[in-house]
Amino acid sequence: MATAKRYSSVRIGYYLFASAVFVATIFALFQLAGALVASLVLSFLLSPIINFAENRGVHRVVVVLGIYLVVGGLLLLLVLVVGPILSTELQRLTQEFPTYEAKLAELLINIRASITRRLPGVEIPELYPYLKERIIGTEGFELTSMMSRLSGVFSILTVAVLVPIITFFFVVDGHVIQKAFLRMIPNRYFEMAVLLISRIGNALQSFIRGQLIDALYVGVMTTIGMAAIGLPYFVVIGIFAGLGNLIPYLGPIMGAIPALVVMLLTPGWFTGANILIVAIIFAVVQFTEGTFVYPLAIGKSVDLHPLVVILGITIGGQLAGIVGMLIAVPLVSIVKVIVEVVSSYLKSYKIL
Amino acid sequence: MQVVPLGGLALTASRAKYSMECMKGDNRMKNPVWAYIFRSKSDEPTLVELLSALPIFEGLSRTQIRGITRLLHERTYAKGETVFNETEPGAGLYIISSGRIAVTKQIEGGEQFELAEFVEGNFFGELALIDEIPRSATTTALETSTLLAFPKPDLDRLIERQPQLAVRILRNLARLVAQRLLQANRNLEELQRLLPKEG
Repeated sequence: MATAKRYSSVRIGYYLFASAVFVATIFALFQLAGALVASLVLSFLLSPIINFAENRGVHRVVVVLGIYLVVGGLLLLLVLVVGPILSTELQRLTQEFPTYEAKLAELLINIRASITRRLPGVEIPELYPYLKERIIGTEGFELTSMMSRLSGVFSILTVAVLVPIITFFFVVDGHVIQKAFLRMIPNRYFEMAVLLISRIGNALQSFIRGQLIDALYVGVMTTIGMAAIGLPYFVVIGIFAGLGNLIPYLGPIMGAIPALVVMLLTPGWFTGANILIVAIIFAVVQFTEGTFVYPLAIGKSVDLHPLVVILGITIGGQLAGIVGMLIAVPLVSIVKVIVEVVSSYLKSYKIL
Repeated sequence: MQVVPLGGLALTASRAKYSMECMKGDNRMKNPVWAYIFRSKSDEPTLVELLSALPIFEGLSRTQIRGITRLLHERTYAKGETVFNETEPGAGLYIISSGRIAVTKQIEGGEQFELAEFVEGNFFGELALIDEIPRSATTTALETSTLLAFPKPDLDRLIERQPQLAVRILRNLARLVAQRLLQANRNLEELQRLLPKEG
């Protein structure tokens, strides 16, 4: 079409400029980007509940406000009940960290000594400083610094104020936002954009919802199991196990490391019987998760090759430390979901 | 009769007439501020009337149709612009609010063969509401046309949120498809009856 051709470069320029401004704004306001992503995830989680209630004649706004009230109440309860446990656990961990560190250093020195004793002539470097530098970096590892780094990205205020508000509008006015976006799409790409948005949305929704349900299950069950056998720091161990579960293959192992470390460093806990009990609990949680929860919650899995998982974790660790290791694989999975949808789609339009 | 853009007044006087006028004229309000103020009041009844005349929205209440109007995407196509191409995955239904749309199919040799022409108040592409079936023909605007798109994802959302309403639409859709299938069967029978005579 002549008119379309005449304006196409101007139009492309306009769209590029508009999207560049949009992306730049989002990245400039890193906190806003975090809040937007969190709101999107939350609205994905809330939408089935809201649809269920709407089917029974309750208005969406009422449902969302009701959910906010209930969740607010539950959070308050959680803060009142779990909060003190978690904070004392974290405090104890930070206080006792130097002692644990010293114990670990001693342990490693002993290991090195025994190796050199048994295998004379083998030169191995000082294990402890080497490992410490490898794992944690030179600036040192402190739980508080990790927390502050997290909260730098995601200040408490943002989470508490911005996220519920944005989520509210996503849930209640999501269609209006989408419609406004589609209005900017040229006619030629309108149908493609409509189907693409809906497919990406569906894929992301089921993926994120499934992952979170799965992680929640593992976290809660591990916490209950550890609390039942009386291992200290059970809440922290549960949280790590749940978060670790977001990573395929390596996640369950990484999630079990805190439990092992706690056992190793708590006097009287590092015995064969105890290790067996903890291993059985982790195995039972993993087994029930794999057989019952995963098929129900996630169903169709996003298969990542083990090599991709390892590379993702390594790169994530290099870029952003422990937080990066946790975020990397879910991010890669999300990117994979999007790329798969887009490429299959572009193929059906004979663009690819 | 000259229609005065006074929203409510003109509407109560003769709603049908007013809406007919609305559909045609775009330049009835030159001042953008006033056009904006009267926009929702004047456009909505027009749209509701347009939609309630369609077989897919048969049996829906005015309130429900008003809800549907909020879902629709209004799109303007220039003369000669393609709405969708043959073989592309179908995204949804289009209702013609103004203008003319040609339905063409490519026949062997690459020639375009015109199957039908749709005008204001017609709709097309309804099979895409059932599934992302590849489009069976190409549709092109014969003049500047305003279409109201009703994409499948929006119907899917309606199925999740307001199943009773969605079932009505789906039943109407099924009836349309059934009618067309019957017609196709009849045509086929007729062709079969003609076949031995010729061959």
